[in-house]
Amino acid sequence: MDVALAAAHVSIEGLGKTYKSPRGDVVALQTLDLQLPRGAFVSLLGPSGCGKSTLLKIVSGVEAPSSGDIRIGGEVMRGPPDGLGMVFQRDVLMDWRSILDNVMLPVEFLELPRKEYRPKARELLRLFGLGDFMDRYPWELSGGMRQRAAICRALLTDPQLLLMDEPFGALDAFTRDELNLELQKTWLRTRKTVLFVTHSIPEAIFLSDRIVVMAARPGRIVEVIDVDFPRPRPLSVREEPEFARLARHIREIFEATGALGGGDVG
Amino acid sequence: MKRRRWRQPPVAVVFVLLLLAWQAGCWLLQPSPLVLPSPRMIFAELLDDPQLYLGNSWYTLSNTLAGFAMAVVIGVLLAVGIVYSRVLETLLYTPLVAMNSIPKVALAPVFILWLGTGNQSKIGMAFLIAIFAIVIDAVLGLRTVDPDMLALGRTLKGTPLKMLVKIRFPGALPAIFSGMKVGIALALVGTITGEFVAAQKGLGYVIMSAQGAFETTRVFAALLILSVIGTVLFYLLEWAERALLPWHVSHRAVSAGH
Ligand SMILES: Nc1ncnc2c1ncn2[C@@H]1O[C@H](COP(=O)(O)OP(=O)(O)O)[C@@H](O)[C@H]1O
Ligand SMILES: [Mg+2]
Repeated sequence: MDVALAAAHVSIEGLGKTYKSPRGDVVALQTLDLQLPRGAFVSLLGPSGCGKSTLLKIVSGVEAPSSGDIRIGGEVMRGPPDGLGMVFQRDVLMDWRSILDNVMLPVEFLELPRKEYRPKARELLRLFGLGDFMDRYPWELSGGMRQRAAICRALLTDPQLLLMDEPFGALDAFTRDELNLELQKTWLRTRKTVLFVTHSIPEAIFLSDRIVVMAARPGRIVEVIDVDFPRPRPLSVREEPEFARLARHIREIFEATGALGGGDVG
Repeated sequence: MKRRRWRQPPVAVVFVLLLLAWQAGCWLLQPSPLVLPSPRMIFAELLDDPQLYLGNSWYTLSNTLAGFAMAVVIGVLLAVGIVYSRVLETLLYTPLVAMNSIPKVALAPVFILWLGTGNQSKIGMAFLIAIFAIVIDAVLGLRTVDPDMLALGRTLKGTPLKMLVKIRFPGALPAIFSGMKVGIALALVGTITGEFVAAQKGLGYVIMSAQGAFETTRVFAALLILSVIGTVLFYLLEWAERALLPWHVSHRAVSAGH
């Protein structure tokens, strides 16, 4: 596929992370290599505790690796990189700011011109169906709307790399489908490099160009799977035999690595 | 709306009802005015020399507010220092928490020795007693930030100042307000304690001198004013909190009802 041929946007080499704790060390990630081609949608899929969040924290510069390094656009990363958008499982909106002001937060932190970005923030919110809620406060919105606002916040400054840590994990199935479609639309429009964490097999297949299947104890990659369904993908792609085949294949990997024993993966 | 008002009557109504009950009790039981004067006698006493009560109330109130304002400003600054610096935490926070358990009222004579019998010692007492609650609640508020929010700030290359002003401080405001609401009552206690020990002015002084002369009605008149001052100050803070933090969970039900 063509994205695989494109230059690597993010290149992770020999990455390891060990958390030191009084009850012994936890190997969250063990010598991990991964390339994110520029403009690709890559998912990390695996059971709880396999180090997905840890990997995202390291790529976002919030956590330092114990070994190995990360290159972004060829340069070794030190601290939070430029052009990064982050979406968490919880929306992390600030209750004391209106939705518009929440979306404007990156502009204030990065000291970009507010006058220039305010209209952009409004436009983005309208695009995500929040046009009538810009002046409301987060607690006045539903979970799906709040997460949409959090995505707008991550997109506002047009970062080239988008990191999303189980962004739809706390939403009901309907809202989740809706946001999956919306995310695909946004990605097709902007072609950002996306690193998306999920522990839903169908969600990973539906959204991704490439799925990185992980296992826990120690956190590691067990298989990398390319997904070739044409885009834009309708929700009904999930009923295609090839989709079912891929899902079964991934489930078998989890069974083989013991991840399905605890019933963690849905 | 009507029902809500019934469930929670305005504090002024409660106040008047209490006074009426007190008055009724005095009519029924006829206690000696030396033991318990009736509200009617107390109001007569207040109207007899309004100048005396106004002047002394203002003295007590202004010292309380001065001490309280200092406690808020310095308390919040200390809390920021404690949260951001391990050294300050070890040096200040641990002793502060330990000292909070000793009865600070016992320090009043020391303050009189240091600052004299004028208003400085009263402001000092109000400050000292109020600042503990404010520092402890502010530290708690500044510390209990959502870690994801801090991570978000870090990915946006937030400077320590930005993290403080845009993330930690707004999030800590509800805790700071609850510290202030405890602190304001304590500041009044501090001022009065100072006035009990040595003063020529203030409601505490009025109470002490009236007590020496067995003028029970005068003691109660000063107590009545004190309770009104304390209540009004508390509700002013609560009002300010509602106006400034409409987003806080504890106010949402009310603001949604409007
Ligand atoms: N701050 C931390 N301190 C110690 N251990 C941690 C910390 N964060 C994560 N871990 C451990 O590292 C492993 C991977 O965690 P995480 O990256 O959160 O996994 P995932 O997001 O895939 O569920 C887990 O065993 C977890 O307990
Ligand atoms: Mg996680």
